[in-house]
Amino acid sequence: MKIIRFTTLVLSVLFISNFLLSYAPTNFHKPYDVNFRMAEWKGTRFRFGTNFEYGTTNKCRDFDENKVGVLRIYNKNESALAMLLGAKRGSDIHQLANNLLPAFAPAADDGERGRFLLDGKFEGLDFTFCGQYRLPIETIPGKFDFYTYIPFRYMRVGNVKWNDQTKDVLNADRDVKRYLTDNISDVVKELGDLDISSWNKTSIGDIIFMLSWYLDFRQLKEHLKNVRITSRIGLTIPSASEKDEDKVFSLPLGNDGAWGVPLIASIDLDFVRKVKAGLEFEALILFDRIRERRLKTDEHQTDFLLLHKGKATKSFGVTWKFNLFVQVQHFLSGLSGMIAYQFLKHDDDKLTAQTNDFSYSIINSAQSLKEWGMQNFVFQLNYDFFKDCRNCWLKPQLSFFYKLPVTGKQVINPHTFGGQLAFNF
Amino acid sequence: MNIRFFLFCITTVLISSFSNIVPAIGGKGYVIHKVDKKDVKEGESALRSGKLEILTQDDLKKENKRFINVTNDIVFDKTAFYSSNYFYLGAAFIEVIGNIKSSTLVRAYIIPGATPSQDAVSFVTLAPEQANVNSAQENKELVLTTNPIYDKRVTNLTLMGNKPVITFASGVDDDNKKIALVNLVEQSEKYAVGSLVKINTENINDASGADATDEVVGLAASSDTIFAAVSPKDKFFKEENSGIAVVVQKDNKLKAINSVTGNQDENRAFGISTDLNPADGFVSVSINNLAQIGGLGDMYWDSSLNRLFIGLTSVERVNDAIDGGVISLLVGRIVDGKLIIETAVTGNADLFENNSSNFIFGFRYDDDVNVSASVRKIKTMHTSTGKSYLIVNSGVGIGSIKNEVYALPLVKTGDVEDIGKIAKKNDLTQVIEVVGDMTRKDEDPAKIGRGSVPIEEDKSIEDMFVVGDSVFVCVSQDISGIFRSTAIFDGDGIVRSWTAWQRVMGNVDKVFGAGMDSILGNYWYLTEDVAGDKNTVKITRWGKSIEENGLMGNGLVELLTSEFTQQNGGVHQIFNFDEYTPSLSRDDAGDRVSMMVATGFQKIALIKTGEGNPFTPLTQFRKDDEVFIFEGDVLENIGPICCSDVSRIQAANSGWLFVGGDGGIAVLRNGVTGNGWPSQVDDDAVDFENIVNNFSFKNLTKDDGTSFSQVRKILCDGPNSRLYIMSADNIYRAAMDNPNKFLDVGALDLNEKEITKPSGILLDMLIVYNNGVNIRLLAATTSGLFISDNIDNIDGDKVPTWSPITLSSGAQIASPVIHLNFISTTKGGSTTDGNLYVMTADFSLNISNIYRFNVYNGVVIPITESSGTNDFYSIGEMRSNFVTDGSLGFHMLSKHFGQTDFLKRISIISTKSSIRNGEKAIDLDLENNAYNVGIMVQNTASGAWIVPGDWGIRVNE
Repeated sequence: MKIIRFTTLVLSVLFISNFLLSYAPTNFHKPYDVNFRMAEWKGTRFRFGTNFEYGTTNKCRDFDENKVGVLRIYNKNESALAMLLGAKRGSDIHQLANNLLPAFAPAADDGERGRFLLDGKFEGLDFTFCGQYRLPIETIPGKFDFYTYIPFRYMRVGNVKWNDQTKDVLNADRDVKRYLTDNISDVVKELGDLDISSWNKTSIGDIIFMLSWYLDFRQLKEHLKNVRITSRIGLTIPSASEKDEDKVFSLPLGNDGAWGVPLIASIDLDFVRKVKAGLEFEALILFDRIRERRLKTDEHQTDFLLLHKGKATKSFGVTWKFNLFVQVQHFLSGLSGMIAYQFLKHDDDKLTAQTNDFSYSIINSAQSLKEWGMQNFVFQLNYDFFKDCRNCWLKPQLSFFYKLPVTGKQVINPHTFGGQLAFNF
Repeated sequence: MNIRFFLFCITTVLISSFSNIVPAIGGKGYVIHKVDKKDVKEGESALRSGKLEILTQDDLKKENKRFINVTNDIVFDKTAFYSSNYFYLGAAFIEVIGNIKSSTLVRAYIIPGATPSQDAVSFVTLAPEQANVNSAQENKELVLTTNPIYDKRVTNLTLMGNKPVITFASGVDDDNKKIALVNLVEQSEKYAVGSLVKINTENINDASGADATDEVVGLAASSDTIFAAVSPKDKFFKEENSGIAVVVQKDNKLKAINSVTGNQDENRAFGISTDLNPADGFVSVSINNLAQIGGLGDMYWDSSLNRLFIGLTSVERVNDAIDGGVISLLVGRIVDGKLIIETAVTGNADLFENNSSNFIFGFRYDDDVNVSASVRKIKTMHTSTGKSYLIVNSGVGIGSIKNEVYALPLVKTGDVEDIGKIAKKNDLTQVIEVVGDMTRKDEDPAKIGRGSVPIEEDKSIEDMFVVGDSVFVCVSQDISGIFRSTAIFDGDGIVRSWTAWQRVMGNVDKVFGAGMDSILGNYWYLTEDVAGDKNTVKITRWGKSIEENGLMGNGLVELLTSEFTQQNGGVHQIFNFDEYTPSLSRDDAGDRVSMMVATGFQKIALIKTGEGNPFTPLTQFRKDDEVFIFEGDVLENIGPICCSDVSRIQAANSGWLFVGGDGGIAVLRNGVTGNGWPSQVDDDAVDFENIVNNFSFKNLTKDDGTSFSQVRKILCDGPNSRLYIMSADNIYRAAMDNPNKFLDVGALDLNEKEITKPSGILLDMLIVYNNGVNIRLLAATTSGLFISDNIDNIDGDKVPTWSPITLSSGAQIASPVIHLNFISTTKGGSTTDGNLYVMTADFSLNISNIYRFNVYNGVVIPITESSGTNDFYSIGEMRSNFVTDGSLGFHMLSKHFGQTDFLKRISIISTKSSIRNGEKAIDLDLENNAYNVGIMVQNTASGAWIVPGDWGIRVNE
């Protein structure tokens, strides 16, 4: 009966969120991030907790790792002229483009004409329920745990401003303003049903199930007391809302509708004086996903002004993550402190159009498909009430963290902070 | 280290070690000379090796140096142009100064600078004192001996490929019976030292085969054969046994062969005879009666047709009282190693109308008058439509007319014996059969330049060359410089007319020999120094030009750059109004002026460019003297100004200038009276100072008080006094019938009327006259190209019938037509009679095409391209404008998605693949932040090209 209820719950969540998500290039933690791992109390089989993370910024790192405005993450500016390229003969887009070609005032893209500098602000909030159950498996050495993560996410891209860079000294400048940039929001809405205004979304994220195994190797050395080898494997279910292709600044709240498998291996070292250090390596593999997407029709087009849509398969690049931490446990009663360094790299994504209307090389010239990555430091304080509640059936713990973005590549990496509340029982 | 990288390094070192070694001769691996680049200062060492002190080093160090001249007493007389950096000059006179002797043969070339403005011109000698002659060897190494052409006068100069072939003379020995082929020792090096010489050791015989020639008087060469015009022993080239010798390379030297039989062990020229029944091995130039020859005019080998064309001068009847005729044009071909020479048409008297001097290269007369026929210069033209023409500087008549140039159609395919012969004017595949087939010199297809070259008729044209569909002539008389005429084609691609002679290259120097670099469009020419010695080579360059009298670099480039700032887009467009533009033109040649209008953001410049009789460009450009800036509230209302035209009315005080742009239009007129400048043909010259002092601009508004907007073109119909205003979505017309319309106070309404436009957004427009009076509009829109029916002069809104212009396949133009470029037969800016180059472009699809049409008498028909396609050329990417003068084509585009090829050059030839392969971006010497280019235009006064842009202007002069 319990299994039926559980299955029903999972399926319900899946049906509720049948949008697809893309993997937003932010530095927010994955729900199963090792730095959300809470202390364990011997003898308890269940642990339930919540964690949250919040961050906001109007800056990001571009492909060259320069700190730029958050909406210039992919392109220094957005070209309204480029968006007219590659249109089918006779279409409204094609007609508008050719209106800009009088003999004595042809409107070429001179680097400013038809270009917009974008300003805006990103805001994100993650709230995740997670549960852990210690599996009663005794035949195999080590401990097995089953985890479930149910995240809820809020994202917003607001305060969006499209700053027209077109000069006003040539006839072509005025034609471009008249036909294109003075009313860019209406133009793109009419030509491509594209909404270029601010966006926000609250939704459940991708639900994750994960199986963990670890094995301790006690050490009788002067400083090293224990070595723990851990491996985890999971399944991410595309339950989060996808990127809305008709809203320029929409972001996916999960993995772009793709099923995924995170594979994790780590080693933790316990030293004397309650010092702990660890190293974790993670690979997130996402499976291909077919759906209608905004596709480039010319290599000069910029990522936010794409008027054409087509069905395409997205082959996701693998996400690699490396996490290193040092923790001092219980240095003041139940208080522990941790410093972690994270390195993450997401390989190039690839698109394959499902029709002959699009060029493979052109659609894959989108900057947003290029690799991205980041490096962060995480500072965390954790307080567990294990000693205080030694005899209680419920043992709470609490933590707070601050994430310091060091650098990144094509990523929105705000300073974030968050916390956790967990109960062992 | 990666093994492949290691091998690459080794290979690179080996190659670079050997790269300075002169290539082996004949593949045998002889090493004769090694050039160490470290020891060679640019221009200097190579010259010293020839002991020719021709460089002033101070000049060489100057930046932007366009000329080079010798400093000792050497003058050049012979030139031959192969391509850029291969301009050969042969010395005519050398005065020995002390122990300094000289090379007789030099090559002019460019020493490239970091930017085009730092390029310098220099010479390299090709006749050093020591040379290897006929591959002479010692111990399997080529040896250097005294160079037989060193310090000799060059009497003839031609090219075998890019190698010079010369005859030379010193007044001693048998020099004038010798021919020398100078090999460029190392073509890949900058310095092509002419230390490999091939020469004939055996004198060349005349047409008797028994005697050595008295002198080689002319040269031509194919890729492997030299043709030498030889005079008979002890006689001039006009006497019996004059002929054309064939000289080949044999046994590492030059060898004259038996031209008649092809036997290489014998030595005989093919004879040119005046006998009515010439012997075997002779060709007669006589018709019906004995003739006599004055001399050799020219010889020219056409490598496409594989034909040798020979022109004779002063060919006439021996006895003027006797019925007879002559042919002064011969055609030769090599068949099985032997030379066959025939007359260009059969020697049939019936092919010439009796007593007519209308037949370009021959005649038949029975009148007792002294008529002669001369062909002085010959070239061939293979048109971009796939036809072949012989271009001759010839004259037939009483007296000596030397300033006429004609085009004769040639048979290019078919029977071998017909190829190269003059074709029927109505069927270019057949040779002449009857007199009606002959091209006459009073017919438009024959008259290059629509008339004589603008020099005195008894003065010679110095040089002539053909590039694309254009013929260029070099002159050095009171009127001097280089002039161009371009072929105008009918719908079948056959030449139907020519443009009037137009000065080119931006200078009025006397030109004694020249060529055009068809890669970049630069002119290379031999001119004289201030002392009048023919010892100076000049080269035009793209860029900012230099401060020399007569050049736009002498003030205009800098002035426009400072007045039209880059921040405001610089010079948006330039409009040229030549001296024949109605309202500027005058019956008295001395009162003609020409001008240009430069437009920009809220500002224009009126530039006087030429004046006087003979008409010459101005020598300098100063603000408020030759260049007049107009700005102020009225022009500020217009904003960016993109179009301009003059009224073209030849009535009293009707010379108005109109400008237009995004914010409307304005007229330049007398603020008090509304009058324009005096514009009748018998008025005095336009007084620019009066215009500046008394004229101002006035905005013209519609009758409802609103401004015109998005004005894209202004056209004036002078004969009917109508002003046409094309905006993006409307065509307006207003009568220029009353100056009161242009008053400041109490002005009459403009009374503009609407002309219903064809479908699409308007992009360009031309006026085409039908029967000289009725006006038709040719409108380019996003939907194609359309022509209206006649639009009458009755004021009122018009709804013309617009007909789409179809392509040669019958299809309509599917892409937007964005620019119309017209080559007119006449000067003055008319667009009624000529060829129309239409550029289509598609912004979305990033493509452009060029189509061509013949426009005549109000009818526009497509020109059938020899490629079989509708278009003349598909550019393969979007470009915004196309301009051609018939010799080269130029397409333009402002900075577009980072691409900054503002100006690209294409050849005007018939083979699309060759156009594609030769397409070249022109370096305009711009700063990295350049972004906007206008439409290039020719300053018709000086002939220089101008490219406007945010940089101001760049020129080729």
